[in-house]
Amino acid sequence: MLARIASTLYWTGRYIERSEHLARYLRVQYFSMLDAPMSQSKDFILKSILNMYGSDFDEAGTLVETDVLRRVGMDYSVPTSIRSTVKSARENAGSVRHVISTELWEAVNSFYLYSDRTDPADFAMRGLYDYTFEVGRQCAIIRSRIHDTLLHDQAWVFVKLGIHLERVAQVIRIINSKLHDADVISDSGGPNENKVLKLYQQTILLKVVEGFDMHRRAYQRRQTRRTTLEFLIGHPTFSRSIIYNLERVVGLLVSLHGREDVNDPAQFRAGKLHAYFRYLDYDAICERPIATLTEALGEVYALHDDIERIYFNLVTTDTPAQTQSQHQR
Amino acid sequence: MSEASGLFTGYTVPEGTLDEVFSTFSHAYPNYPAIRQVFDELHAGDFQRLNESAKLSFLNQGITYAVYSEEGGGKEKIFPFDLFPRIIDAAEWTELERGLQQRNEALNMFIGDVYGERRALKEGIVPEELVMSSSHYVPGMEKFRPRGDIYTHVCGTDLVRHTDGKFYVLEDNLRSPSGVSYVLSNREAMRRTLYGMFRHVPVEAVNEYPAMLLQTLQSVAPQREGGPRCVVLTPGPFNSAYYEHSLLARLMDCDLVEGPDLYVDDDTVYLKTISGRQRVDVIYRRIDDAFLDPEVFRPDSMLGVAGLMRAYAKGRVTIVNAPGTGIADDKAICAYVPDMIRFYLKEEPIIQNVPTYICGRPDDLQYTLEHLAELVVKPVDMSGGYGVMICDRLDEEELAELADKIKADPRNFIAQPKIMLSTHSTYIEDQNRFAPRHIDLRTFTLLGADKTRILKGGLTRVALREGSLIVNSSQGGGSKDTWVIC
Repeated sequence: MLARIASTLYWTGRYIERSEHLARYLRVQYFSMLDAPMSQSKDFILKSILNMYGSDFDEAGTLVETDVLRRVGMDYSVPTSIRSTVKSARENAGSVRHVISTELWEAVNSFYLYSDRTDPADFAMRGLYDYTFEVGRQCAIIRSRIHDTLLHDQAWVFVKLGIHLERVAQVIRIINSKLHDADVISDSGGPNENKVLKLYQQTILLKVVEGFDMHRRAYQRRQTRRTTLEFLIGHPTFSRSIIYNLERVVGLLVSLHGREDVNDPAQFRAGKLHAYFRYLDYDAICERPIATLTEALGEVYALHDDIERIYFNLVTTDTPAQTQSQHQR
Repeated sequence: MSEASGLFTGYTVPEGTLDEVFSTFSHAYPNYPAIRQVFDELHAGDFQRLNESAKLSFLNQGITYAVYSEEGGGKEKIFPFDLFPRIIDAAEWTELERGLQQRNEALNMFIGDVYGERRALKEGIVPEELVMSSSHYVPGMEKFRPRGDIYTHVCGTDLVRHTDGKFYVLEDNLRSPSGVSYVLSNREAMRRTLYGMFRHVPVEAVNEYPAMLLQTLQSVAPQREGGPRCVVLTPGPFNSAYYEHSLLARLMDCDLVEGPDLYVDDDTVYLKTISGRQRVDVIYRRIDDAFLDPEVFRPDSMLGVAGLMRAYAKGRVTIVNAPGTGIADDKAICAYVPDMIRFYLKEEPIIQNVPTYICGRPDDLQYTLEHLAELVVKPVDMSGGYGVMICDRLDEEELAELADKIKADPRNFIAQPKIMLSTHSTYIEDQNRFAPRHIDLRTFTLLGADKTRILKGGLTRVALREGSLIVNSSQGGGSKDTWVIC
């Protein structure tokens, strides 16, 4: 397979996955503002949303809700907006149109057309729920097309590698963002109020990754900071947990290389990261979770660099995939 | 129950125009009234829904093209598609096929001759300075003989039907003719939308084209063990014809490559893959000569492959179409094709040319300047309908300006009498009815080392603006499915 094609397939997977996480985060965060147990500052939520999108904001200024929503959802000039991400997914898929199935291409193309047709003004006023919900639905369709209509060969491996690696990165970022929110809130209220607010932030966190119901099943309705982290990081069969996805990444890298080989730098780093999370000391991580996860995120990015160096480095010009890779973080 | 739509209400064929659906002429398809009736029996709104469904199908498939604007960048649009098929009867098509084969084989021989012995130039069949002054002449091709002596593997011949009912050649496209993806997609859209029609009309298939093209590419591949590996070379996703490049690569099961995916080592072309290099035998290039190889052509080209022409000259790779074929699709050369046919094949041309005045010739220049207001003037080296001037639509000032341009650089222009392209019933969305619109036909001929293959049908292009004669997609044109009756 062409190195450029492999890279483009990988980025198609990453952008598809990224768009879903961004949309889900926005929806859950925004609507949490409306049904919070006690009034949370609107500015607080909007800043949290901007943080997650990696968007700068003026600390001193007052945020205008519709501007923030447009910026993170609809603004093509913001590379991390949902619409930009969907567009990038489609541009990448279009470049590998001849390698993927018609069904997959049409699913990605329909996704883009839906996103592109959405009216930004309507989105900011009343269409946020519908749009972000539809993004999730379209991503689910695309994932099923990837699974059901591609040969599970190298092309599939690169798309899946992109999906699973992006999911690891996004879940870490989401956990960190919500832990940060909980810390900020707990600094501002009394002890009882803090307890409720912290629990509420954990609930939001679980809902952002659509893990609330399964967490309840796994922990018999008991919900603490520790159970939340255990579930999102280490649950072996929850498909959005970090450990679940790292296991897939390792498996995909082994299949690309042809065999298990610790001398393969990508396999080695992925395996090490997987082992780190598998044998994680949750007592210790609960002490300083944000710092721990930030370090781990650095390793995820380093793994991406390994993959790029080993499989895509034959590309010498500034292709769309490479250009887009520069704003991935 | 709602009333029939009356989609042909008020249909009027303009005076002096031949309408392929309504006029009577020697090769008119006799069953058009039955097809018309199918449309006429549709209830109000049904046709609109079918039309919308066809459009949506194109949009969802991503069958779009980019229009370049002066402001820069491209806007993505659907190439408008009309549901009323253009039908050509079997006897007329058989004759056209013979004519296309004859014409394109003669053109191929001419190119070989120009880069070889130059017999036609020495014997005055084609003026030497006309060929040698062409911006498409490639000195590096001199004395080089490509595999099978094939230069123009893929030929796009544009035909128009005149008011006498006969087809004439408007121009030849011998570099990278595009449009075949629309032939395939239009047929698919027709099958999805109006499948019932195919039960009543025996239509030649067009879906064999990718296999025909692959066989053609393989027929000119260098012989080696493990080969041949054919690739499609594209400028990239932002090119207006990228969809076509991608479709053909997919249907031929070839790699779709960009310049940086290839490199030359020891005069051999290799593909960069995730598991190392792989040799390439045939490159179906969809980029212009100027960008092929920065060592030989434009040094700033990022689209081509350094050293490609060296590999080509050594016979280690075949480039399709060969570099330098543009000398024969220069619009000024078109006028000499009937003479080429007589010279090389000792035959009379089967399809006639639209008469062409070559402004580089003093007599023709004088005629053109004296009759400018009645003529259509075209720059010789532009495509896509750009630069075409229909002079009876110009005012005196514009005519004078054009005359000055021609006088300043006569070699750059040709003139033709205004051929009244035939019309065909075309659905006009904002009027919700059919109206006559001018059409042409782009045909596709494949010259292989083993045989010549011709796609049965082609791309019927439609000038959607009322009265317009310019059918190019970049100038507001659309297309129709073209049915050749078995």
